[in-house]
Amino acid sequence: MDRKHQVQFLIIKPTRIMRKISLIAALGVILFAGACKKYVEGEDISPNVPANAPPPLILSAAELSVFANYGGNMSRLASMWAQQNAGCQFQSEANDQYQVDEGDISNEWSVIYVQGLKNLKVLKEKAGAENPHYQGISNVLTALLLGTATDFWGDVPFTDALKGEALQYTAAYDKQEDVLKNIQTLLSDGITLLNSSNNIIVPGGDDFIYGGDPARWIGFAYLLKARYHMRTSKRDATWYTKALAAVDSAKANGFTDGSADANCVFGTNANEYNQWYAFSKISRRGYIKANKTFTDIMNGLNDPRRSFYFTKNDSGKYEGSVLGSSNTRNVSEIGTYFASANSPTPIATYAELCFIEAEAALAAGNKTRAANAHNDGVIGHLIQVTGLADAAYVAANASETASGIDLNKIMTQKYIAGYTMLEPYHDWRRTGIPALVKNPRSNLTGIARRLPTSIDERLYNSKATVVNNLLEPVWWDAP
Amino acid sequence: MKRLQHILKAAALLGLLGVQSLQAQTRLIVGTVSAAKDGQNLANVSVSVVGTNINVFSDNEGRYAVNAPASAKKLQFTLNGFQQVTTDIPSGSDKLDIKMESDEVGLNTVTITALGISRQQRALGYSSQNVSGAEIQGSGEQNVVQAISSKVAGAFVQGSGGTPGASAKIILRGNATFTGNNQPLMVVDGVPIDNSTSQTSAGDYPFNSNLSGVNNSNRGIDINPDDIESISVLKGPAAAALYGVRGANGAIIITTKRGKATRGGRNFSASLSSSVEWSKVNKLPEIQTGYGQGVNGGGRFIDSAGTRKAFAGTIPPGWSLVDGGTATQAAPDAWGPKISNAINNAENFFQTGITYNNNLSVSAGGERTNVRASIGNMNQTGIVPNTKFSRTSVRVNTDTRLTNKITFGSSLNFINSGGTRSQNGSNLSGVMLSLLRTPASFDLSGGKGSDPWKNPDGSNYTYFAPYDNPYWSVYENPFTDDVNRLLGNTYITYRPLDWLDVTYRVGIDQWTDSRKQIFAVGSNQPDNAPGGESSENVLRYKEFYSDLLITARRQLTDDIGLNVLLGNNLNSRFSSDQYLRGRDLAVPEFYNINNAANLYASSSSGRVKTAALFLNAELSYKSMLYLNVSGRNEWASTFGTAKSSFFYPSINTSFVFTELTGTNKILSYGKVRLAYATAGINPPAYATRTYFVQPSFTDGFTSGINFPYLGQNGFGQSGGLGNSALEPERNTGMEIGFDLRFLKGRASLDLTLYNQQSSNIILSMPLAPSTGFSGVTQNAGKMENRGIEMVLGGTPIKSDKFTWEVNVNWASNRNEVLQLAPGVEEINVEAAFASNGSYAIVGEPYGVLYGTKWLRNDAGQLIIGSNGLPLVDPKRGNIGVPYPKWYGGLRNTFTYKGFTLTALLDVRRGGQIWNGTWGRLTRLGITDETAERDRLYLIEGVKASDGSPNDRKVSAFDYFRTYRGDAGSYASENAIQDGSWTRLRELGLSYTLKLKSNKLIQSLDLGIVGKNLLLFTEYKGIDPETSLTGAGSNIGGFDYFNNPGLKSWIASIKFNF
Repeated sequence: MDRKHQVQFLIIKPTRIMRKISLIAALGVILFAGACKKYVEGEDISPNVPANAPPPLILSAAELSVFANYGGNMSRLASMWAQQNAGCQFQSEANDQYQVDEGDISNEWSVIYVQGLKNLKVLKEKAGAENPHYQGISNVLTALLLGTATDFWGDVPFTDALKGEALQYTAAYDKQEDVLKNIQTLLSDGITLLNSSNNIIVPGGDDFIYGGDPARWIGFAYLLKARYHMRTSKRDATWYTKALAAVDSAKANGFTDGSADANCVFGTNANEYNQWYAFSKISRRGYIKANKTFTDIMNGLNDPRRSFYFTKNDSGKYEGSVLGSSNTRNVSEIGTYFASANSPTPIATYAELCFIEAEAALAAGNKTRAANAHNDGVIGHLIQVTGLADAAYVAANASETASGIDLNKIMTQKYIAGYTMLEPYHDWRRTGIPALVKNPRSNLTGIARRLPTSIDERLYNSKATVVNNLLEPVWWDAP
Repeated sequence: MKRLQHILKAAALLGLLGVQSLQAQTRLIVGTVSAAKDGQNLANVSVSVVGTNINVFSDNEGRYAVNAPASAKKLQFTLNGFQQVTTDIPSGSDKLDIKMESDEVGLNTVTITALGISRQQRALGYSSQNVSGAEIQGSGEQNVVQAISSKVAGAFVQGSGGTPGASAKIILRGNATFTGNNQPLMVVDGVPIDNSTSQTSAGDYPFNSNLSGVNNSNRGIDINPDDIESISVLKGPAAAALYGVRGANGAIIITTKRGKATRGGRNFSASLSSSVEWSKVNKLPEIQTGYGQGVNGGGRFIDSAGTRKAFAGTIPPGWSLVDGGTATQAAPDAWGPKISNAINNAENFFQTGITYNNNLSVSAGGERTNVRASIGNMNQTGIVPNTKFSRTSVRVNTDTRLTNKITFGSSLNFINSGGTRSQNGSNLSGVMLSLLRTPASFDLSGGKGSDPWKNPDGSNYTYFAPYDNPYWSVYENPFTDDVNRLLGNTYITYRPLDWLDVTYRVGIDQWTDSRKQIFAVGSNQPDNAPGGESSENVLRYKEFYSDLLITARRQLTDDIGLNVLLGNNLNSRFSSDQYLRGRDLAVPEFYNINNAANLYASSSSGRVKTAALFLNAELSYKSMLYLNVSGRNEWASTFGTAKSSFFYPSINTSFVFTELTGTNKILSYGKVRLAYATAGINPPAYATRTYFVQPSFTDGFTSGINFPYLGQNGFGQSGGLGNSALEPERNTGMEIGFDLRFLKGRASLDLTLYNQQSSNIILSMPLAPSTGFSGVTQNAGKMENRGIEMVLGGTPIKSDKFTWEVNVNWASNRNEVLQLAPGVEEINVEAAFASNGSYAIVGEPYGVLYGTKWLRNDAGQLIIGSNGLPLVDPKRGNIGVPYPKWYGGLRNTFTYKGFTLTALLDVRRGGQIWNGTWGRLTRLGITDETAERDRLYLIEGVKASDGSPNDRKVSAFDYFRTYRGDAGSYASENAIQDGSWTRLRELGLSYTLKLKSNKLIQSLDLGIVGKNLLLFTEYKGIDPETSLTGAGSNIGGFDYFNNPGLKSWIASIKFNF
């Protein structure tokens, strides 16, 4: 066999051998292309995480997002700015001087929207109309989280929000006025849903807050209605009528003592720790201690709750750190009532309901009801914290009558009873009680009145209403 | 069934071809190859029949015998170091003796390219640079990645610290992707191997585990440097396009030593080498020794009543300044009283690290089979007490020529590696964290317990309760890892026709890493488990790789050659991570999960499969002009459903113009090359769907809350939105290069200019949380790398006895993020600290340091508040670029008789580091700059109130704490420092003693190497070659209590048998 004609057959006309090789190559490519596709198929589904989950699991996840918010950084910031606690070291020292920038609160914002509100929406969809209790709880918690967001950030997205799955990546911000209306609607609808008895599945142990009890949820929903009517006291001339109606409904639905309180519940495993405990006793010891502003108020009243609220300092006193001093030595710390591994952190309490009633009744001109509600609030909280109503304290501070009651007394007692809650900071912005001066080491001209827009919203939501000025009040905090 | 028929048909055709080829007539050509210079016979000369795949090697006496087809016209003789000879087959005789001229210009260098194909360097249309095994071994580095440092233009190597087994990262020509892998593919003997670095991370750990934990190894550390014959660095997509979806970052092609017969006709050789290395810390932050632990010091005031006032400004009458404070252990600060007997804890703590390295190798070559077997053992103890790393590697490489048509062989490597590691970084048990923060008034080894780091009750003896004593940390909280790894490949080549080769190659890489972390009862880390912890983590990796390569080589005319490669590749990579943790240990100091009251487990795994068909064709004209085109079509399990496969083309050409113009006295060789190619980066696994996950919640201050919670489980929809239309990323590169050699090889210049555009870059495109999601995986980004690489060589002096060689490599890369996603101007590369991160910002280089800045006026002056301290800009921004403007290496080598002296200078200019260590230490009053405390300080700037120059002075305390240091209202930009350096990376002296009279030992190599002996840098901290996050992370330029770097001396001896 002679193969002298290589050039010709390679470039111009292939011989039989080359044709055979081309055929093999062509066959090979076709064969292999099919095989290649086949080889990689069926490996695209994750073995590590499920593609779906039933309502009970989603409810548990959503409630934890509430606990993360009400028990975590939000409540620490509120308590420092209400001067119940003092930020003494590191980031807390900066926070105490109102140094909170757009990156510092992005996590809190994200927990509300991505972990909280989004999963509450998913919960409502997955539960469907056949499970109204899950849907009703979704409504109440949505109102709660949306309220938290708007209290700190003012205008926040809702109508346009949570549409990522539909590939809508921007969300216009709703006016706070509209958000507050929406909260009332959510709560009313939630109450209707919770009143329905046609459920295929009902919540139980997956509901950490109330164990699935619809009556408790309805009472809580009314308390929240009252809270958000009260919030508009500087904007709505008839707020107190609406608030009192909601208070009545809350009480009618069993919100008559501390056993009805909505609490963040915690446990003794490290991943279940009360976040005040995890922060101040474990991870960030010394960052935050009691504030002298607050200990002075309680010392002035000789308040029996002090030993539950605080530890004694080295001198055996309940004395907080002087505002702006960053002093951590010989200073009281947050005590075991609020900061034990599994102590609950309040979200909404019977005492709060009483003080809302007192404030609303006072605004309505019904001083007797105001005084009685005030006294109920103080005594109820004393019993809840200390186990008994200290007679001397009751005589001095919880025996108000129509003649003596005033807003200052109501708000001061609400301030005391609201320790670790977000409400004292919101109430101070609304009423200016107690009188607070700004941290002298701050460069701001006053106490911060809001949180800055999250960096993630500024960067990634072109429709966001961006506010960086911490002194700019939200709508309900009208000047 | 139909497919089977096709296969049978194809097989029949192939068989037929085989039969036909056997019928072809051949001639046996025999001869001897010798060196022209001294007549010595040359072994291992490659003798190939031009226009065919036929190739044999000369034996130890230089003899060869090759069966050439009757049609063959020419034979080609190739040996590195000699000029290639291409000569006509004599028509009358079957005997052909050849004399080869030595190749001083380096015309015939052979390079291993993608898929392990060896090609003449002159034919390459793209830049690739070789590092010899001798250079790797001479560096004294035990990590092959670190060993490449400052030897290759355009290879940016970043070690992460001086602790044993710490990872090193390599990036070629800049980062090509945002959140995926930016490091090149590592290939050993033609088959990719894993070079990942992974941090142990529990499923419930909500932060980036790279920021704390220990310095883990990059898996490339498993390769024994002593086994390396050469490394070829394929710098960009043009060189690595044949790796398709894994080629975008370039490739590191490692070739290991194979068996061959050497030295005076013996079929056997062996070597035994031993070395010892002594290492010390090369640099630590400077500290003040005048003030001890405490508070209230630092130029604050006492009023006339003797009460301390933390207030500066106008000094009221009767007030006085105090520099010393009150001693207390309740605060972590060194703002306390004056002290006289300062303790240097760091000096006491670090010890001399010792590394023993022993290697034995045996190489044998016969008529049919060549074998090399080696065993290497490396044992290292660190500068940090109780840290160590060891590696034992056994490798066997064989090649067998079964018949003239069938060759097969294998390359197998078993490795055991691992050690004991210490805590690093942002970690309450971090060695450097507590060691450096400890004021000079406290002796860390002064405990009165059973060990000097314990109290009598057995608890942690520490200056400040929340930090572990570093001795406690290293002795009570060690991390151990144990890796068993098997990697290798086996191949068979069949030659049905003289000009056609079929090779099938199968490779595996399989390793298991068993890790254990213990924390004694009473440790501060993990911060929510004071009851102690014992955790186990098993990482597994399995890679299967196969190539079918069909190579046809034909000489179309006397001048035109064609070389075609058709192939198929299958690849499957599986990894799994199983984590078990036990906390609250019942019996103290008994570290087993069975001893724990609280258990947690997490597990994850993933598999990525790819399959590809590829084609490569090279057309050559004389030895002058080469044109190479290739294409790879690839399928992968991670691609979305929109398109099932993607195509990666490349084209490059090389023109050796001196073949046309001829050479002259000055120019001995000149080549221009031009290349264009696209390669890819695979999308991450399982990103095409949205899943439900167990959420965990934390605000960054505590470890947060997560499931299972109070006996309940919980799942929520993930914050990451899946994307079914996902595509691989593309990196399209263009480069032009010149390879010029002058004065018969006495000087050379290799210059490359490149521009690489990454597009379709996958990013977790951040979404505003108000969408209900935090991000969506999307092909959205674009990024550009352009730069210059230069390699200069020269031999200023060359005589029989004395030679002086100079080698310079230099590179500069400019990276710019061109596009992120619509409406997105910046994204976080990887979660870092709340105060500062690593970002990709449009219009700026990738990975810039991002954090708080001072508020400035238009003139750039600081705006000072009423308290005399500057204000912080409410918006964060770019505060530094962690990659150098340019970097390079300069090597001078002097040889005199058997002596070789070599010095490698490593220069890096630019590259900023966020020195968080310094920021924190200054705040605590530890750094030397805080020593002057008896005066007031004025910060230059203008008043916020009226814009007039600031005249409000502040105390030393406020100045260092919240302006220079990182307390309160400070800006992260203050801790940005220049990481430029000039270092003597390597100084080596070696001597080869030839022992001709001794028949057993042929020669003896003696050597001394100094590593990192000199370091010049402005950086105020440890050695700026540092990385908090290691090679497993895309973050660069973070120093937050990183473990320090080293300088060392190595003494070695090698016996050659």
